[in-house]
Amino acid sequence: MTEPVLSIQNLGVRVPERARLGGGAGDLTVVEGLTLEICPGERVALVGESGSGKSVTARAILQLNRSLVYDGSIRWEGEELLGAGERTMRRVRGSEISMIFQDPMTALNPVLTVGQQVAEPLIVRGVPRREALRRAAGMLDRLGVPKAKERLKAYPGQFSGGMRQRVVMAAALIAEPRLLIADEPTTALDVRVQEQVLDLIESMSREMSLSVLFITHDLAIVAGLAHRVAVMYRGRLVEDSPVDELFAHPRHAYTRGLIGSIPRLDADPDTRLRTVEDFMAMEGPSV
Amino acid sequence: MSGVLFQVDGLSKRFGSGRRAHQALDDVSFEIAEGEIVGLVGESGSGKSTIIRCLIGLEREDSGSIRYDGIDPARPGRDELRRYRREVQMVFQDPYSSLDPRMTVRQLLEEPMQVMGGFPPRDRMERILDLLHLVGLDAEHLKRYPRDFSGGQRQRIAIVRALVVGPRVLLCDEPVSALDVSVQAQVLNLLKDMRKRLDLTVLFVSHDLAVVKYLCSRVVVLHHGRVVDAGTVAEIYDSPRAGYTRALLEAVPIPDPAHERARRELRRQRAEAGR
Repeated sequence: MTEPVLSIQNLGVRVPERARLGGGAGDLTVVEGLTLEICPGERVALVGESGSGKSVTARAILQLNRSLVYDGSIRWEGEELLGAGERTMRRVRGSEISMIFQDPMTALNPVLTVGQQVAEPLIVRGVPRREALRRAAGMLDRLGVPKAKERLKAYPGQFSGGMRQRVVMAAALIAEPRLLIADEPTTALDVRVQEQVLDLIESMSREMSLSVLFITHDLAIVAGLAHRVAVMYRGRLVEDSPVDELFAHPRHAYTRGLIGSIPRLDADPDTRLRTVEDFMAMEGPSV
Repeated sequence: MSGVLFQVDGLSKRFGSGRRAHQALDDVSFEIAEGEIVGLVGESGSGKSTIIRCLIGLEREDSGSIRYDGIDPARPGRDELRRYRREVQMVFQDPYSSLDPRMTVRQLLEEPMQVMGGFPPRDRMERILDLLHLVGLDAEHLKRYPRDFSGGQRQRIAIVRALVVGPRVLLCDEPVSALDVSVQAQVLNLLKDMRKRLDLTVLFVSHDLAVVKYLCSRVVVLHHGRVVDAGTVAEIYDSPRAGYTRALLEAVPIPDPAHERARRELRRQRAEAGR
């Protein structure tokens, strides 16, 4: 058995009383007792509805939200990240663990050229500018951006949504990280572009032996991408199974609900969609 | 088969002029019969939102015409405009921006009836409560504000707001695309029930072919402002005529790991053969 690159043990995340937006007394627990490991080259999907705690978990790995209270442990290649100093996190972020987000429109700076943004992770690590730009063009080309070298001087506004997500991916992958965290990266895209982006994540993960943590609310999207699927419900992990097993024998009622609520091209439209509530009502809300 | 309710004929619309002109709609024609749910499918930039904007009078077409039950929405008679605005209601994509955050649910649901007129105040609450129950909400929600509700609940409130004046037609612009899959299922089931119960005609705009198949009886496929395919759900999904429709269908993910992996392998082989 290979050693996991990322090992999350018994993670708890709370919003302290003073930081609660809607007011309310006491700390608000948003993630509780979460244990999740990712091996080298493994693609893990973290699935759940809005508010389930999946994005908070992803952001905890990179310590992006310092106002939250964490307990448990997040070990990255043996090193503890919870409570690690900014120096450690600056080293880890971008060059060892990268993250891409849902909306490629807001993830890029509109007044910097594409070349500057893709090359930046190298430049801040001391790679000479010219060399960094050369490698940026290479990475864009690898991700299927046509005329990559000429387009280094273009601005994000001159790119379509799908092309922008490729630019975001190029910036995320250029420093050759070992883990990519992708938080709903295709939600804002059309289906054909979504398929291309998913194919790219899959092929880059194979070629670079890159581990992937893919966050989504839609199980259909990760069916062909993930090796393993972890399902979150109300801040807790309720299921963590190899992908084939999860779809063939979902153990938790909530997982069955998530699968049942997907409209399928290969289903009879007269069959009513089964919602999470239907399944939970049948089996009782045991978590 | 009931009569045609909406007739869209040769609709064209261009934005800008000269070299930068963009032909958003190019000779678009389709019909919606009474009681149908028609799916209008296309990617971003296909012109589907422009059609909706023309239908509700936010844009004026350059050429072509729209007829609704004898009414020309672009040049209506005085009483016709009132009837059109009552009978044709709209549900928007984003339930976070389509509901005024400063109004209570009660105010949000009363407003359309106040504006339209013809709803005596003592009947209004009964209408509101009947519809709220149908969508799974109740009287205790009336005093709350949109911020107190989840996305799915907000979209249900938006649907009640559209239904409260008793429309015949619902124009839905991507009403579930901002929602989680599990919440989307609730809203889709709800729309299906509502259509039957209230005898509605629905134009459902979406980029999601699986959603459209679940809900609609007929489909119109748009690409770069043109209708490239149209037919019943069986025709479009079992034997699509346009290559574009086939390409869209092939890209829809299916929640079946083995099937999805096989499709990816096929795409990879095709891409390598094409090189």
